[in-house]
Amino acid sequence: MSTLEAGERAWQEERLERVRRWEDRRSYEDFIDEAAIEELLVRHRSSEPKTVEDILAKARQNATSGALLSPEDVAVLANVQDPQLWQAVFETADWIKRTVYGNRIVLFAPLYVSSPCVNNCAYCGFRSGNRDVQRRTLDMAELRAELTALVRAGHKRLIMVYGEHPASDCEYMCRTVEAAYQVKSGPGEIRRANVNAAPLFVEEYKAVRSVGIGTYQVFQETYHRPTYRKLHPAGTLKGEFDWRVFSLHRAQEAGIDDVALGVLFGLYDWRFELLGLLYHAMALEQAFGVGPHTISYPRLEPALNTPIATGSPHRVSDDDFRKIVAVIRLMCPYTGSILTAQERPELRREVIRQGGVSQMDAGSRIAVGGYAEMDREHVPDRQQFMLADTRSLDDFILDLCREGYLPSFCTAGYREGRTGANFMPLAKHATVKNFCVANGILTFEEYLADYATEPVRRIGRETIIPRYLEWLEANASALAPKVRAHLERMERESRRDLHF
Amino acid sequence: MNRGGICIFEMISETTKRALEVECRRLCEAWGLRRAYFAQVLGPRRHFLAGYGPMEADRPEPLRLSESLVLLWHGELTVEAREALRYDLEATVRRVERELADREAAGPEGDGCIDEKGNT
Repeated sequence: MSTLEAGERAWQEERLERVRRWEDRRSYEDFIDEAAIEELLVRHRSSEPKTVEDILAKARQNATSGALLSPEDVAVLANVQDPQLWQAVFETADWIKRTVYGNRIVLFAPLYVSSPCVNNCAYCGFRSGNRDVQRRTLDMAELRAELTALVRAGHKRLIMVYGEHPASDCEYMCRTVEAAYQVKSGPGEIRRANVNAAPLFVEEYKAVRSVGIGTYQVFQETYHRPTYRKLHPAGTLKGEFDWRVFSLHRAQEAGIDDVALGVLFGLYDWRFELLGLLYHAMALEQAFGVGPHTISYPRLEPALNTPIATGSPHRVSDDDFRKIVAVIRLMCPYTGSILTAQERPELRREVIRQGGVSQMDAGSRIAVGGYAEMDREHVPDRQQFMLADTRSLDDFILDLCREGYLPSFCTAGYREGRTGANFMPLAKHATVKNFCVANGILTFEEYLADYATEPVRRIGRETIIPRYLEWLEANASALAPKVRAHLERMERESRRDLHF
Repeated sequence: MNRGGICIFEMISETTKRALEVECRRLCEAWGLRRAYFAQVLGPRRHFLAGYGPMEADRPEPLRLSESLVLLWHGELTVEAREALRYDLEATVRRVERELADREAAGPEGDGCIDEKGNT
């Protein structure tokens, strides 16, 4: 049961009225047809291996054209039973990722800025009716302390997370994003702040856009309307399915052209949700010519006093999770694929390769104010859910290096005008990897010079950077000498933020 | 306006976008640049507006034209050439600045789609 105070209730009601007016007027066409999706999944319940192999070949071709797989293709893949065919899917996912982005992993940190929320979503630790979780909205001094801790660890890229609440409205979001860009500590700074927050009105998106955010991320949670209605009570803002499902259309309307999708896997059948994501990507492409910048796939996780999180009949096993990540890479080859620290280290290690993952968080804390008390891995009564990978950023990077990946803190693209329609051709034609590897090397060297422990510095300089310089020589030979020259300037002149 | 299921949303009208593309092409031809493009300045973000020429895997050179507009290019330009460019682009900059301000101020009425003339 919701326990909103009068002010919160009034804010929600006023907003809800405007939301419903928007819904009544909207001109966008529905892109989720539950019956059609269910029918597709039934129709393709069993397919010949040749059909699957043809789809895998098509997915490889799409890596350099940027085309999406069709809903039929995704329905076929989602229903594959043969482990050998799944192995072929995993290998294809890894190949696509390396073809589009190279072998780098972009690193970021989540920053929970506020947890009060007027919604009452059954699966969420931050729901308004959950009295066991403390709510907190960072003031500017607390925020700066969090940011300083992140910068001192070596982070350059954030996803700033906000609850839907009058205390963390659009004006607060703008102020906190601006603060993120202002914090400096030694040679460190935040260079890209992405936002994960509630759907906004167009004029609010414009305000958030004006402070220079990276990506705006809204998770649909589930594309299945009956499930959505069951889990998001009527009369709450999040109860409005259409408002949320078209939230990124409105962001595009406001000129935010880097938008990000996500599903909370475990609320409904994962096969259905994969098709929901695909239809969403198709709808954005059709309307704006720009698809999702990233896709996230968190799983339902235990949270304090939230029994549905462990009792859902649709909880996703590790095996199915691997499949989900790989199919997302195949169906939408150009999109960034985000694997978070919600997953255990061992599983993350496997899924990076099997799923074609391109972005990961590390050294994460998800309690509001959690970075200021970094030694506490979990603060259950202040968290939305539990994290499974609480390794430090440095330990995580060491692991990536041992696996042969290039850890990257690159934030160059959006600072050089490679945004939206100007970014998509690079990703769709798989030429973005030249930027990715070059900027990956330079930002990794910054990390090695300023933050790394000795074991990381050693493997980074002796193995990883030479390996990726070699890759550049072989694949983007004009860039290689420029990267070498930048590396020399970094060492000789202590220059930072040299990028392409 | 929804034209055949395709909406176009830009921070500048289609007419202005085309004009900027023509301007970029002219700059490339006149100054021997390989690519030129305009971007809106939003904090650290340079938000692409319009450009001409193939994308290159190199860092573009920037010329800040106003509070909210920057020109980026691949190629060589002397300091004198940059100043000449700034003067050359003054009228364009004024027009785009005005349009960006108008659009930022525009309310949420209509379906948000913008036609070729910049009407919603």
